[in-house]
Amino acid sequence: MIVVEGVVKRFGALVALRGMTFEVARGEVVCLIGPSGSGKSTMLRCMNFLERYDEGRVVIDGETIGYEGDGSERRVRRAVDLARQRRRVGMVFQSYNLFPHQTVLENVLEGPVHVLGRPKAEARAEALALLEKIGLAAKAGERPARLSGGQQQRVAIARALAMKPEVMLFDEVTSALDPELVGEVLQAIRGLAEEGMTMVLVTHEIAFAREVAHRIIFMDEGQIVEAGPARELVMNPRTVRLQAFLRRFREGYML
Amino acid sequence: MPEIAALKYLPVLVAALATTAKLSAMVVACGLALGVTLTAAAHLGGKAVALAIGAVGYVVRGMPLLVFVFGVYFALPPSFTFDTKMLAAVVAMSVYMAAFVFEIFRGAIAGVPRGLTDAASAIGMTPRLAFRRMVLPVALRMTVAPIVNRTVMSIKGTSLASAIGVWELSLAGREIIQRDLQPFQVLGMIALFYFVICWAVALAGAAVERRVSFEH
Ligand SMILES: Nc1ncnc2c1ncn2[C@@H]1O[C@H](COP(=O)(O)OP(=O)(O)OP(=O)(O)O)[C@@H](O)[C@H]1O
Ligand SMILES: [Mg+2]
Repeated sequence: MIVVEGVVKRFGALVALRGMTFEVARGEVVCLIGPSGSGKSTMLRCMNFLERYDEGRVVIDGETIGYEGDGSERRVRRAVDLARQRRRVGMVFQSYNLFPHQTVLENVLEGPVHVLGRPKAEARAEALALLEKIGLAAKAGERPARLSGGQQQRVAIARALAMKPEVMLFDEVTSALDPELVGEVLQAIRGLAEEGMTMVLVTHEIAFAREVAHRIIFMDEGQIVEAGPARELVMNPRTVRLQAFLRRFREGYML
Repeated sequence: MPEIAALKYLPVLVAALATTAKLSAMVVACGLALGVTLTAAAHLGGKAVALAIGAVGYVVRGMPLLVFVFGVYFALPPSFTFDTKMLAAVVAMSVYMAAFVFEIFRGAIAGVPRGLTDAASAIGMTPRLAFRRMVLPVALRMTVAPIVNRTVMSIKGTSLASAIGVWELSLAGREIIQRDLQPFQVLGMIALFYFVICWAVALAGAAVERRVSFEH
């Protein structure tokens, strides 16, 4: 369903992605892991064109994200076209990025009502059902600033789901949370996986990745170093770099 | 209770206060309107327009208000049909305020965190829709406090109109002091007038700020 093919991304002289190639099947959960600065966020942001990749392509359901035309004819899509493509791809950020001037319910309604133009009453019922599902119906009228980090992150998930995306992208969505709040967010993601949502997650929660992901992609310095079925990759890392990465990880946990 | 001798000047001072109030109202209203217009023009008019407005604003903000008032006053052609002094004061002070208002809005818009526009894009908003529904409302809330601040400064700044002979509170006060030997009582009354106006503005501003707070 998602095909990433030779994606290269440069920031000036720095090459953040050096030809990333992988696929994600419908209903598959893929985790991206790797050291800080290895390009995980950049890869994810290229997948909904929040970051403009320089070479290669990201194809979702047969449509190239961000560009139209081919070869030397290739050019960036118009703003409305980019916006249309992004509607099919939900994204959740490390720093929640809720709309601070709106209530929780308004945050969730914003997409369906103001982007998709759906009738408010209908969208409202669905939004409330979504909030119910993530256990935040009681907070519908609150401003994000009054919620805990875990609650805000769950609202951010609901906001993305309200668009009924075909793919969900998660960028280290538990990294900013206090340890005791991580569980509730992971639980919400686990629920989505069980429902068969296609997802790409950047995460530092290796245990969670092993349990929930079908496949894990380990990247370093903008390249895929090792990829494979989640359990196998964590239990029997083949490359020295992944072994070292996992070892550092376990030591980190013990401290 | 000791008698406040300067109280006999109260009617004169109140008459002058009316001019100060009128001048303040016009300056603040025009300054805000012009500032908003310039912000919109800079935003919609492309790079060159934005750059030009930014440059002129920078120069105006760098000038002492008194110098700017004199400059506008001498630049205006003399007229017998209307009050050139008042006009010069309103124009100069409005433009001066607008230059600051523009900068406040520009800064607030630029200061909207990247994460907010990313999130808006991620749910499929075009940049235009994101600007209207996210960037502007969030930025506007950030401007309340600095705008109130600027309004208070503009009101106090109207006293400089006395330098070109607009008969407002400060000038009336100076005239009285030159004839009378009670400078501190008269000055005290004038200060009280300014204080009450500015205090009311600040209170109103604080109320607005509370209403638009992200936690409200
Ligand atoms: N907007 C940008 N401008 C310039 N360089 C950038 C930008 N975004 C990312 N980079 C650089 O690209 C590289 C990859 O960054 P990226 O954020 O994708 O890493 P990451 O794997 O997500 O790291 P982390 O685990 O710390 O989040 C880094 O060297 C980073 O400094
Ligand atoms: Mg990252």
